[in-house]
Amino acid sequence: MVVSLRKLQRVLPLVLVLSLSAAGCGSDSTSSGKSDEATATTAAPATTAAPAATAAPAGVPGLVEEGKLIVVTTGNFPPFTAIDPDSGEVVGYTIDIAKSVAERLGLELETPTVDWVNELEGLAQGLYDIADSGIWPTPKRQESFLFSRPMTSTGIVAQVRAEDAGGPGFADMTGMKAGGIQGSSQEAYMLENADALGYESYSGFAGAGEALTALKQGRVDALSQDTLVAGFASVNDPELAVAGPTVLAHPLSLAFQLGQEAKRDAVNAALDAMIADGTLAELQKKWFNTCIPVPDHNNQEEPYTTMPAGDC
Amino acid sequence: MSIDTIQEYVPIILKGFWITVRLFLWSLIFSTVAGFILALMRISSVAILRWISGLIGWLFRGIPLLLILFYAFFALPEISRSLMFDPFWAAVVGLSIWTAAYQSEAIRSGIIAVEKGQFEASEALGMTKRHYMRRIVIPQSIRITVPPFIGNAINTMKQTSLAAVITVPEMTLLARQIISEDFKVAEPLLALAFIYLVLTTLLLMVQLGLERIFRLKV
Amino acid sequence: MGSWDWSIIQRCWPLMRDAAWVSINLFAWSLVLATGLGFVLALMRMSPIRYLRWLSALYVLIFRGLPALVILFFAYFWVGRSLNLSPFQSGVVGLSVAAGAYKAEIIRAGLLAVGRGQYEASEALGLSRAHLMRRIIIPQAVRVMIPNYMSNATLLLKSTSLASVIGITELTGRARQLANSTYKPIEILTAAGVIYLALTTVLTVSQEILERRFRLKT
Repeated sequence: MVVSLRKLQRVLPLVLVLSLSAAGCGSDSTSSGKSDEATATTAAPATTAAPAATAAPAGVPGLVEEGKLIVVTTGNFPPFTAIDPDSGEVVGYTIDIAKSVAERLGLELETPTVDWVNELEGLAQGLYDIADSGIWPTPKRQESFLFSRPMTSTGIVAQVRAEDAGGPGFADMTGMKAGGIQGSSQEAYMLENADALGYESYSGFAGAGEALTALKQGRVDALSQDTLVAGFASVNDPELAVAGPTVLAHPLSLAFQLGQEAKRDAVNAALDAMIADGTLAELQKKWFNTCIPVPDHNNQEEPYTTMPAGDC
Repeated sequence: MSIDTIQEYVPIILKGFWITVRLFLWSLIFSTVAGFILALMRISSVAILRWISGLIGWLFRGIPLLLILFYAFFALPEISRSLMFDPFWAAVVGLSIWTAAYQSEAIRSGIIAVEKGQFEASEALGMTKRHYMRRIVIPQSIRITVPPFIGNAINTMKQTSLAAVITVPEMTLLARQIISEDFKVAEPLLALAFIYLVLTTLLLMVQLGLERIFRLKV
Repeated sequence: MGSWDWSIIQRCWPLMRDAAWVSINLFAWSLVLATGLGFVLALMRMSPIRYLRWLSALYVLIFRGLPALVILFFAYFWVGRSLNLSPFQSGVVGLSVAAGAYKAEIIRAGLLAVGRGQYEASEALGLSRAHLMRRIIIPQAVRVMIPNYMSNATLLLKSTSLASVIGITELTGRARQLANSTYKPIEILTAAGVIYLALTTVLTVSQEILERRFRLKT
């Protein structure tokens, strides 16, 4: 039970060297950032499981874990993804899409949640199969990630308190304290157009929940928010509203690590099937109460449309 | 992973340095004042003051600092609009009250360490109360209080990193932003760790210096 | 200030209770590992081999000089990814590594407090090294260590709240989530605070019981 001092002194250096080398092994691959192979996790020492190279035989190559589809979201962006306060489960439009896709591909679904600032970074490091918080496939992001076909379209609008409902929104923000979600494209829009918009100050928040609390408390006067998210919040909360013009219409798609074309194509096939048989339209009705045109490609410069099949 | 990238990130992270320092200094000032008040209350002859001080101490030593910060930032505005602090001051409020709960113990142990017998002896020798405090109580109290006091101060400096969670743009937040934007992990963290180690080592040297001045090392 | 909403606490209680168990789990694992690590480090520090002493001292200097949050980031983003650990496991690694540095000093102080004379006397009596440690040194060391060990354990319990920043759904993280999704920060955060107070008070009371039990019978 009690190890003698001398024995300990002999074993210790070995233990230290082993643990240091284990930590050093994987770090080179993970810190290389935008890795081109799906094998970021396989550079770790032999003791670990889940190498992406020996992928699922079930027809979807490149899975992080065999037989599972790991779809990460923030859980802080309703109605796309939110954590149900009663069950603690993640629910939302994108979660339902993920469920349907997983079913069609014959895979088990796992839905971890992380803060937005960590979501794409974790995807880049190969921790997840898909990132699906309602992501805008901007040209810049398309350099670092692969995207599926769009699963909805949306825009950016100013979310305000109910008393400001008729206000100018983005048209005129003088004297307003602006807010948004840290690291989001809606935030980028605010920061890049600071002079044109003319707001007094800007604060970033970790997620929609914190941002809305800040809005209600009066910490900020207008949030730069996704149109569907802002609309959902206004419908469900009498204290909230939207104001002013909607700008920058754009699609939302699922994000994949670079190099995962086969995985992306399999998911695309499932999404196409969902549009064809009306599943997507049903989900839209469920979460948005209306049908939203789903573009057929991610390039905003070119015109697009497809309407999901089904009546709305 | 290269040393160059680490060196590249140090200046970016250092942009948050002054915020860290200001967080630390303000919290130090407020917590020392509050700690003194709490300590005096704790040894007061008025029972209710002792009780309140004891309660506050138990409360703020028993809850994680992170929760206190969330409370200061999210919950206080609900109680009253005038309590709506921006992230920096919410962090100062949280840090100050948390540190004060510990400093009050350090200060209190310093004050009560001086035995009663010395008070009676000084009376017998005909010393005035002020003379007694100045020449006998304070030097001994300081000797007892300084080590835990500085220990708490160093802790406060390290805990400023939590302000990142309520979006204060101090060093840890900046490092985290680098991770999520550049997708590099080791370099920004090592740069951050390096800066903190320099800071805490400096504070440790201050602590050693002060101990020597007060001749605490026997 | 509006009215207090008890129903929200009732509704969210199951989620908070489960999250509290995660916190306790984190605490338990980290305490065990940190104590083991601290014991190893303390022995290293007392070893006749200079390189081991130096290594142990360096470890303590570095990991007491870094904020716990930064250590957790290292554990999650670097070590955890390399070893393919779950967020929970990374959290335990980070917390243990951070707390181990403090435990090392506490255990070392305990071992040193037992007079040198005892080591020599027992050698003279022909007792084996193992017997020496088990029957004579360790019981006395434990008596000295208990106050500092337990107060450090309380700190460890509170620092489990940091695990929320790396995505583990423990009590503080769950409270923050609920506070923001129900728009009732006061009720939720206060409930979380009460749970933490209950847990830390259990530890403090245990400390007093242990101190009493190990007290010398004179």
